Amino acid sequence: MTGATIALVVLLFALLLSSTPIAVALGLTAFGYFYYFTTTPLTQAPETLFNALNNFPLMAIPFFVLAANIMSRGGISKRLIGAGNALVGGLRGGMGMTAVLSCVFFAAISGSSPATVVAVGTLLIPAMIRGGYGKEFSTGLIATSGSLGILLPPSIPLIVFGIATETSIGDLFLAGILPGLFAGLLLLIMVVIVSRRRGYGTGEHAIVMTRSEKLKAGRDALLSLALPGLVIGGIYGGVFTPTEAAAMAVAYALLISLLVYREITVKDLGSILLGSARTSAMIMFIIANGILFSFVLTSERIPGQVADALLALNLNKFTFLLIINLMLLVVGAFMETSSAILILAPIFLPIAIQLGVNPVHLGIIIVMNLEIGMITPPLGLNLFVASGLTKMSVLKVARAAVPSALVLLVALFVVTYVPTLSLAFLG
Amino acid sequence: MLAAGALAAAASISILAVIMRYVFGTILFWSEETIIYLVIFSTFVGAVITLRHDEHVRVDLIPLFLRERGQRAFALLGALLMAVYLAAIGGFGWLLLFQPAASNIVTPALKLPLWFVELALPIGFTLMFLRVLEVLYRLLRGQEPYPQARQSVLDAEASGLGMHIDSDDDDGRDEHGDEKRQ
Repeated sequence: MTGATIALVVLLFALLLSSTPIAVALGLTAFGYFYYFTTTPLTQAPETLFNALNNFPLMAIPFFVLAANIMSRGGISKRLIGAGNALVGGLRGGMGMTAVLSCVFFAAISGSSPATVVAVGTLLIPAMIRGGYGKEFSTGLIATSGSLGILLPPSIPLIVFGIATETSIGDLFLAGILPGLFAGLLLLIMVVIVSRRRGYGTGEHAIVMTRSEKLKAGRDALLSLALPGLVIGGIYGGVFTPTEAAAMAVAYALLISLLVYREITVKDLGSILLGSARTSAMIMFIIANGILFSFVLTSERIPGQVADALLALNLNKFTFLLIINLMLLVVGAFMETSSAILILAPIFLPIAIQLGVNPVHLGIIIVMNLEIGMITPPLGLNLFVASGLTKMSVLKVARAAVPSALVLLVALFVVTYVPTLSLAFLG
Repeated sequence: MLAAGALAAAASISILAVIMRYVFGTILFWSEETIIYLVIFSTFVGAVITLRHDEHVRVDLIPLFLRERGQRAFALLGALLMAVYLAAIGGFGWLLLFQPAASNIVTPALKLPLWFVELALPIGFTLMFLRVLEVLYRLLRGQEPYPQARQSVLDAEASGLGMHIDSDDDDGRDEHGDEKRQ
């Protein structure tokens, strides 16, 4: 550990706590490093920042953001919820299960967790409260289920991991499917148990659909659910690159929203584009600064040093995975997902390879940890969004999300120690 | 507006490139580069709009435990640090354009000089810097620093539903605002 390393870490944490945006904390730390510890010309900072984004696979991110925005405004969330309701609506705890299923469906067409919480929560939190589920339970459940958005493909954090570690994004997407469905299943089971114990959703409030209504709901949603097939099939079949698949998702979303569902018109596209540009700028700005910061880390050879230090402990695979899980859970509470991946993935990757952990499996573990980080304060994007939806304070939502977060922890444990779950679909 | 337009153009070119390749068997050699530069432009200019709406994610941990004065002081500190960052990177961003490489090197496919595509960064940073100056001014005058924000997360408690749900009317206003500004 040199003075520069310590200064970097301390400065980053101080800046993160100072209420300046995360992107600024990362970029300013990197700039400070160039200024005090190197003789590189300072134009290196803007140059690296620019070159960070000069990367074609990254372009998938704004396109996936755009596709998800078109779909949620184009009436897709409504149809996905209809389909979820058709499947489980009549059962005890049906509306809660519908919420989880809708999140799973929406996660499969969007790469972002906050977007999933907004799309499903807007419609279902009020409905669940009316159905007698209690505000806390409903909000906590949807904040957590929404976090599946970054595990089920397409997923923005998995793209970032793929770029940071040169792992195939197609493989990562495939690997995310089973762990995501597994976590969703555990959440469903939790809903059933809690609903039975507390008598949620008994009788009169349940929405009972007739057979033909169910069929219609299923047919309506099928068109939306074909999208993940197009994306993953396209990437994995070698038809599209991930970026092209994201652009195709935009085209497909436009097609069904404008021509089939007809809930938006060409006139609405302006505001959808503007909203997407804002969201995508926010994400890409963090990523650019995260890459700048990790450039500094690499030039200080910090990832290698940390890796050597960890390897010197003679960890076995089991304890290594335990340690990275614990570290990531803490980091995830304080950091935003993409920047955490850009900083930590290069540190963990060499150790993982040495210990025989598949890089794809490592990616899934990292993303799943950071997924839990989205519902743990102080920085949990899903908490922010859910608190905006329900008037509850961020800390209250966090407390409400504890039971379902524990369920995710169980899922994380299984996914960590059963690599087959992630790697089953890969050759 | 510009940011949204660049994003739309990038998406359209990307879709077009796939169609051309599979339907007409032609490869648009310029598409990849164009998409990248459009998205970079959209990012740096879009970040200005993101800033105006106070949507750049940050950790608001300590202010939770402070009273109003402390919260204001923290907001001021956060904005000041942002100003330093924007001035530093933006300033050297302009200098970057005047380096010999910026005019001697052209991009591989489009043959554009490097300074032209790199221009997006200093422009975005300068606009953000001006915006932060306004935020600082408003903070010092004791005014609401981000009048355009869709309520901060904590205020949302007081005024409730609707903040992240429907940005339509909000966005309508922006479009006009942005036309004037950019």
